[in-house]
Amino acid sequence: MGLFFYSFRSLLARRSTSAAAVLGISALVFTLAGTLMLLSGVRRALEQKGDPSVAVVVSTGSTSETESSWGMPQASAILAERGVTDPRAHVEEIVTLLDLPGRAGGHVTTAVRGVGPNWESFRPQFRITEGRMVKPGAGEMVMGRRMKKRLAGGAIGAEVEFRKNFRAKVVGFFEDDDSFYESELWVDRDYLQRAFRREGFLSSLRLRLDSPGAVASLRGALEHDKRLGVRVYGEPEFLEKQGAIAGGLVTGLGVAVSFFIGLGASLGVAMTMFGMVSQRRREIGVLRALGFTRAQILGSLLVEALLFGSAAAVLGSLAAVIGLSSIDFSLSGGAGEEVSFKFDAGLAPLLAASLAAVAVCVVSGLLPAIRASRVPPTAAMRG
Amino acid sequence: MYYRVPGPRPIMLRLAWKNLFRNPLRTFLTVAAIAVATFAFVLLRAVKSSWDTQATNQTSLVVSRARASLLMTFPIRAADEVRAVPGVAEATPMLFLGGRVVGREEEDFLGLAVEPNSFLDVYADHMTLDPGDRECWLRSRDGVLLGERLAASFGYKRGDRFSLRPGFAAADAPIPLQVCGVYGAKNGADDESAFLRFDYTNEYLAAARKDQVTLITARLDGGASTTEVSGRIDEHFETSDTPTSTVDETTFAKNFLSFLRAVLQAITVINGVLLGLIGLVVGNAIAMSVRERTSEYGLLRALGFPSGSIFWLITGEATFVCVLGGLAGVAAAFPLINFALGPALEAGSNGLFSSFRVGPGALGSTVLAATSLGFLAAAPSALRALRVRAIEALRSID
Repeated sequence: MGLFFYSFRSLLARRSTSAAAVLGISALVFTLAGTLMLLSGVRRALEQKGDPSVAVVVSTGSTSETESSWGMPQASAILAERGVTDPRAHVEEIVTLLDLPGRAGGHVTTAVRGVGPNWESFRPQFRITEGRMVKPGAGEMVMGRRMKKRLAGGAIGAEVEFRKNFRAKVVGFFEDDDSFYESELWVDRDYLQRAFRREGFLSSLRLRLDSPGAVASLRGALEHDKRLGVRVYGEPEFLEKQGAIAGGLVTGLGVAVSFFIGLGASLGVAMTMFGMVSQRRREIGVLRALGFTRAQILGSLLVEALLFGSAAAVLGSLAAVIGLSSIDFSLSGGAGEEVSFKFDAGLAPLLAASLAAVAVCVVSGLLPAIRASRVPPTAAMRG
Repeated sequence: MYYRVPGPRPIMLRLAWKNLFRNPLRTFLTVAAIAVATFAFVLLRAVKSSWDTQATNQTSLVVSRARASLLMTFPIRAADEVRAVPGVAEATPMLFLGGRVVGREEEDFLGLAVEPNSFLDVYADHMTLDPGDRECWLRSRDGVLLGERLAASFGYKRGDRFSLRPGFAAADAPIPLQVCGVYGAKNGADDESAFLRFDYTNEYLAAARKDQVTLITARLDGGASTTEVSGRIDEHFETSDTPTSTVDETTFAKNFLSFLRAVLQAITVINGVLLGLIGLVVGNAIAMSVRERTSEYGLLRALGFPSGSIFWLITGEATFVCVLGGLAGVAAAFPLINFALGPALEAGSNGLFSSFRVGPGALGSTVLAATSLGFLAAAPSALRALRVRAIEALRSID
């Protein structure tokens, strides 16, 4: 126990060295934490939450709603056949892309979704945060709240031009449970169809079924009709398929990058700790000569390493959270549209970086200590 | 503050080199860290250059699309209007169909409907086409030309028949087609598209889509400026129903891969982080060794070496460490990428990675970057060491 105070005070005596070492290690923790936060943020943004009881019907082979197109008459026939009339139970949508000037210059490619008038009843998570919802048939648009900062025209009253005779006025902003919808622009479906010359076609039909199991029976009913040419997915399954290439690539790159940065940072931390302990061989020799057992000495060095690692971990993580959390940027999602996201200051990435730092500090602090404590005291003091 | 730093003397560099081996473990760990970071750096650069090559080609073609959206269409007669623009030699309209082959819907297919004669003219420099195939396509209304890679992945050859169900709300019913031939790509064009004939396709298009096109590609007169002609085209359509955005073909291809572009930007940032990591590790290592050797520097000064030589002693060590680490990382990356990872990815990634290689230029510049970073990271410690006076240095114990 006495040695604990000794280690603490010896660290203080070597203030500048200790401080420099802690700073050095926390810079490495910052780098690792930042990388993990980034990857976690991207994963979360691309990871789309879906309702497993909602079936999404798209044309066969489509990997995105943008690409999918099938006939509205067929969709109406499906609804009639199954006796679906409740406006909370179905919605037909068209999805396409729109280029608009970005607030930071250049152009932003966004997904624009034509929604039916019953959208609000279909999705209870949807909420207008500013202004109001679009009126059926009108040339109006509501923007997902993430687009407010991204687009130059991200304000109520701004006009968005599709074609000369098709200009939509922004009438509101919405939020939707932090989902991907918040990166989209929504317009009345009929208006969007006429603007994009897509009369008679929809992209996707969403049906709210009684249970996730019902999706399979719907699939059986619809997919065998080859003329219909559609596929039925549970919503989570479809969203995963839509983001598959993007997600796979990002995950692959992310894992590789974290590994390398983690390895490089760990080697740097190890180097720092090794250096710190090796310097004190003489000191360890003196302690042994004074009568302290090897266990006690190693114990105090272990505590020192833990202190170092924890201090650096806390500093590095704090710096990462404070410095990086407010950074907002965007990637392209599954269908070419932009998805904006931030560094995820969640527990997982920070904890991972901190634990890695502490672990490496302990291992690389103890190994030289073990070696140094084996040296006979007189040899060490002669050093 | 102004420090007099004379040039490096050979003896300082020799000392710096020898210093590396005084603490082999520290040197090893530092070199290892740099090697790891350099390895990752080179790997990411290979990814980056593999995608960049797909988008670079020297052409004098410009591509016009609707300004509002790549998926917005406009009337085919716009092609005649583009032809009339000064500087344009020929223009060809194209309707983007995408599409799925009936019976093989899970496989990617990229179909476009074009006007055969103007198309063959405008893309003459970008395609190789057997004259027999060309004849067939010009003669058969339901003929389709497939790119080499597309034909290979579907196993189609001349004479095969299939039906295409277009996407993007172009048509409701599948379009029956016969394969007239296979084209090869030149000058950076892609060989993964399928070209249908517009006159035939038009019959199948939905009412709202008849006579509509997505793109117009124009071949310019020799010597015409792509920027000027693009500007003229856009100006012409400014007051029409669908204003256009016209860019040269290289830029258009780049914009098309916007997702990849974002990933490339992310890679650039990550590479910056890797360099920063190298700087941190080296800076740390050098700061620690400087602190340990303060008395030595005092000794050197007392012996008569000018303070500037200490600077080179320290930064020399950093440089050597970085060169060693950089070379190690690069030496590991080169065979791994060019002989193992590269061929595997090129074959197995379905066209995502078309050329995953790294050349000596990239390797050399990486080592240079790492070394410069190391030098810069060591410089502050080295400069600080200059200020120490000999007597104080000899006295210090920490």
